[in-house]
Amino acid sequence: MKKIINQFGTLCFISFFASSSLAEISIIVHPDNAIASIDEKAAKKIFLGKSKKFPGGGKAQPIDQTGGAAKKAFHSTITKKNAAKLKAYWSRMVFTGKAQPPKEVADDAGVISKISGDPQAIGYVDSTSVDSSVKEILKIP
Amino acid sequence: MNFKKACAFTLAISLPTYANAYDYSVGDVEMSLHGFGSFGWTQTDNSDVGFVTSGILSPYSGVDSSGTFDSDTGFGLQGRVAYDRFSITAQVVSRGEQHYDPKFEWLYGAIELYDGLTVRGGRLRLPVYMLSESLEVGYSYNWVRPPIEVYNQVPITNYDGGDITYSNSIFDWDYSLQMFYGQRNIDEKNHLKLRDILGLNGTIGNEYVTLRAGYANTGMTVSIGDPRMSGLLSQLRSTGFDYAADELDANDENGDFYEVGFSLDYEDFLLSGEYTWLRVPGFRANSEAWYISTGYRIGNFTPSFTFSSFRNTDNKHLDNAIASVAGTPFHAGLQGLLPSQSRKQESITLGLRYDIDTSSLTTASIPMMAIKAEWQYINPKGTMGLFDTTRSGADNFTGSGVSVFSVALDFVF
Repeated sequence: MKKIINQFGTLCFISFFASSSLAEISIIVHPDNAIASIDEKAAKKIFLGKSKKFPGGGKAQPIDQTGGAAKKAFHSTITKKNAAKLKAYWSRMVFTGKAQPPKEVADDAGVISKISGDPQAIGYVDSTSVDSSVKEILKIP
Repeated sequence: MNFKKACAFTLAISLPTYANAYDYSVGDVEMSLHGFGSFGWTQTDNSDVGFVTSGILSPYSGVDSSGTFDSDTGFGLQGRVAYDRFSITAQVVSRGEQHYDPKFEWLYGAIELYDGLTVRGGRLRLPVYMLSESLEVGYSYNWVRPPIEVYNQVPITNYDGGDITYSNSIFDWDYSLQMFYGQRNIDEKNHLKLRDILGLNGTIGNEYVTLRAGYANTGMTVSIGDPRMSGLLSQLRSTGFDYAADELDANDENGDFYEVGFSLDYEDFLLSGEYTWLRVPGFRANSEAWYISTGYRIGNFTPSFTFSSFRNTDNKHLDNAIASVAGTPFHAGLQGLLPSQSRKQESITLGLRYDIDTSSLTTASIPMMAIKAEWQYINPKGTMGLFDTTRSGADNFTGSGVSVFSVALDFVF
């Protein structure tokens, strides 16, 4: 048990430092998705529930993250909303019946596993997490 | 961030999040359940009149100096089932001031004909104000309740019918146009039916500013009617004062409501305002009301200041009726209606909101909570204001200032 706790502590330590480093963010989709690139405006509309489709016309299913540095960096550039504004925004959208918030997963690995299994999904991860199971369509410096 | 906190943080993000816990998919069918609520305590410094937060539909006579939880406490639960371009949404709201009787505020089916064009039918919220469609979601605004001077004017919150909404964007501006049609029975207190409610509104905004304008027209059927009023009307008619009766009678006539509003949210600075004008038939007076509100976020705190005003503008029909019965026994009786139709009220509200940091519990976007405390000073300018005056002590009320103190805990999940 003690060993597990120690390992958990180490994990925390690592993830704490990993999440505090500044990094590039990649917007990613399934490799089979026909879309080659997306602009910030189109990504914003999808992640704020204002559009349910990719610019090319295919159905888009956004995957958000529950928290962390990638979420912060993504939203400050793309939706231009900090945590408080994002919360207020979704509390209005949901109860006015206008839109549903994106599904949320805990971390980059969760986003990648969702996206590699769903041709309609779109998400964002730290650029260092991108692997061959997904396709990068925009890099945010 | 210390080590322990960092661990809690890491642990928290591995817990099931809101979105995962209450949003389910079965094949292509998506289901979600969300809720909101407020626990509020409200108290005034006056026991002669009642402070009423939701106008004529309230079945109780308002808040006084002994205070109550009923005025600003309420809960809502909303479920949605969606498949492809079809969805069904239901929202049940239970309000303290309506004895917590749960009522459907939303119960509609929607079809998204194509991206941006949606048609809905069923029980819908009446979208006449900027905040109409999220009215009781206290978390979504900084007050304990939206300014009553404005929001009491149209006390009906929903109707049965349908609407069409078109949303799109042009340059960096998102816009939306909505047209609605339906009807509403108000049987609780006023034996009134609003038929052929027809309205439209438009909203345009970018990430900082939102502008809105709306118009609604409705026909009224006053059925059995307020017994005192229908008695008076038949007396007038049977004694030959048909002109006076026609002026006072609101049955089968139309009313109009106009609204313009804006809100600005620039970094930590907030500014919003709404102006409304209500034109009603019969003996009831027309009215106009507006507010302007500003706030500033300082970390989790948001102090705010609001000025709000209501006034009955003209009671032309009542004046005409009074003039036409001059010198008759009806004269005094009709003049007795004047005080209730020449109300004024101005108020200032100082509020403080504190957003509870739930990120130590979970980093999911929800649940979210806020605590608010508010002092509102109401000056009814020598009139009855918007107070309930059915209490025995109401005759003592001189129309001088009343303070209202409120605290509330709001949450959404």
